Amino acid sequence: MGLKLLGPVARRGERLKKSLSIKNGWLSAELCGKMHMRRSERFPGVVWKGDAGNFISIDEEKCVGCANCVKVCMGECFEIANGKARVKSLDFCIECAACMYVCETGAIKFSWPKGGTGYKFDWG
Amino acid sequence: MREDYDVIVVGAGFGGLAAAKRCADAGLKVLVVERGEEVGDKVVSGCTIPIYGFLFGPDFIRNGDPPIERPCAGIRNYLMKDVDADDYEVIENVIPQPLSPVIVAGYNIYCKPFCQWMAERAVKSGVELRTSTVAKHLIKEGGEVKGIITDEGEKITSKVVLDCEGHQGLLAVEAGLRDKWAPETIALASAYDYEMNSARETDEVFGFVSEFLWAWDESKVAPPLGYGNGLMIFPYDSSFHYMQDQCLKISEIGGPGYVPNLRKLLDEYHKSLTSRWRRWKNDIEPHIKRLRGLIYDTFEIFVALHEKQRNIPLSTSGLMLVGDAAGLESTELCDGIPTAWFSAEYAAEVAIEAIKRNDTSAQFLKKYDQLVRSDKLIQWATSGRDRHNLRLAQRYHDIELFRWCIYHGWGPGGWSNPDFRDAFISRLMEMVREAPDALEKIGDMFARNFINWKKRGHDINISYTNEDMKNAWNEFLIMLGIPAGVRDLLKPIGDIFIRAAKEGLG
Repeated sequence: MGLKLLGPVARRGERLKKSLSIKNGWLSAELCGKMHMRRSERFPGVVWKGDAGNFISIDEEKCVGCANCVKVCMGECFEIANGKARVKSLDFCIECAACMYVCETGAIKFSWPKGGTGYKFDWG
Repeated sequence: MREDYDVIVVGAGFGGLAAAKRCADAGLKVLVVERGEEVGDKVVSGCTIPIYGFLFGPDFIRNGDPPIERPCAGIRNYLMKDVDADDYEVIENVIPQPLSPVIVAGYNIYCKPFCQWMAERAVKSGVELRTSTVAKHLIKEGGEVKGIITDEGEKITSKVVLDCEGHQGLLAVEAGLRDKWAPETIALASAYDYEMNSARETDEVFGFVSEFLWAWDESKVAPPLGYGNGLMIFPYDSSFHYMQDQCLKISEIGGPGYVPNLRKLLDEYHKSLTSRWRRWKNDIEPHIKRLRGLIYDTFEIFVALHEKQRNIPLSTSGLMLVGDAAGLESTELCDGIPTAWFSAEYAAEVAIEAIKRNDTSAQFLKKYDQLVRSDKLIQWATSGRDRHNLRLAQRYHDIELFRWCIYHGWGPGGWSNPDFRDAFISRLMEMVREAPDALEKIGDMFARNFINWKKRGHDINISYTNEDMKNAWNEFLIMLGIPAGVRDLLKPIGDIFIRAAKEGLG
């Protein structure tokens, strides 16, 4: 069509290589260890980075143990112990806040993980 | 006291970046804080941006070269009755694709590169962007918002804060403007990113339509996920997103209900469909290279349909809520991007004026509430009930209602809805009145995006000749399936429209 290219061509798909050295969409385990990264087989294409801190907390007095948080959590962050919910691990939290929404008594306090930590998704 | 910034924008998403750029263009000192390490780390796509977002959204997007993945001419709805018997109905007859007003000629995008593209533009306009920074709290003095406190404890002051965090809106809740949204108005979606063998195969399998599959009888399609579950496929350049969603609580809005076991159900639903749906097995799966990504995220679905949530205040002294944080998502199309753009522009406008007058009081910022609440397109988007009723139709097995909802929500029936039709036409006329070449620029936008898409690149600084644009236009219209006779009519219709707009006949 007689188009003249004047600048560099930014092709789709190149952004990935630019931002992270990922081979076939997966970070090597070695690299993960070095960069404090976690990945889960359940979530291809997602890496968790750094220490996000305890950004979700549960007020034991308000918790009635309904397990709503357990039911909606995709990252398996919660468990029920002695009739109360508690945070098992935030390693694979996807920061969606579903737990906060379904907690009817307001026992779950959700805040954002530390800046620059938490999940990174390359195909968002 | 001298503030560090005129405006602090919380969140580098669609709304935040549009607002930040507009403020910076007006000469304000703007800071954008983003919690991700890079812009776009935390966004999850699976979306078609409907055309009204591009037409009436920010200028720099309409007149620029944003990274689009695939033009989208419409939605093909499958009404699945029995998956094993391959008994389904394609509700295509009620959506002659090029006539569907809201989706037609929209664009499927990956949000991450799109946000990065917007961020680049904003930074060029003078916006300061700080990533890896969380706005943890607001600085409040006597009820007035004066800035933010970061997760590192740093205090950054400003005259105005724009909360563009997304639907969680933690700052909006902290400021007391609203409560957390009700769980029945929020949905959780899985987003599978499948890479296809090639762009060409993607063209052949999907063409230029997004596909929705609605399970009619759950027991004959997939394990019961509760009513309202659907499968959405958004084709991209040489990949596609496969999404399923379900509300966090199954109930009427505001009513009692139960929280489903989503982890189990979403997985089972995916397994069931990918192993039994014949279109998947025969047409789609053979062309898939690999499953490249999988993530889940929550999104606003019926927020504005909730009486209480619909009428929250959108501003207080020194603070305005934008986009999802304000509950401004399209309940009809489950798409928050156009409304985020519109509200961002209003918020920026009000912020610019407030700072010029040195009056950021709650009373002055109320102007933002008025602008948003009187915008007809935002009102239409946040009050559509067809998507919601479609779920009820599924639940009560009312097939007529189901067809009706699709026809009016996504089909040509949209034009029979005066809320949409009038808002659309009057907005377009307004644009033409303000800038006589507006229609031409819109035409250029379609052609330019089409050329960029075909060249498999964007932002490539192409110099186009008029001939190129004309060819691209024609090719684009052919792709949409608009017949030659109608194509020839576009120009005279445009001329009549421009005259009508100018002479005030509309």
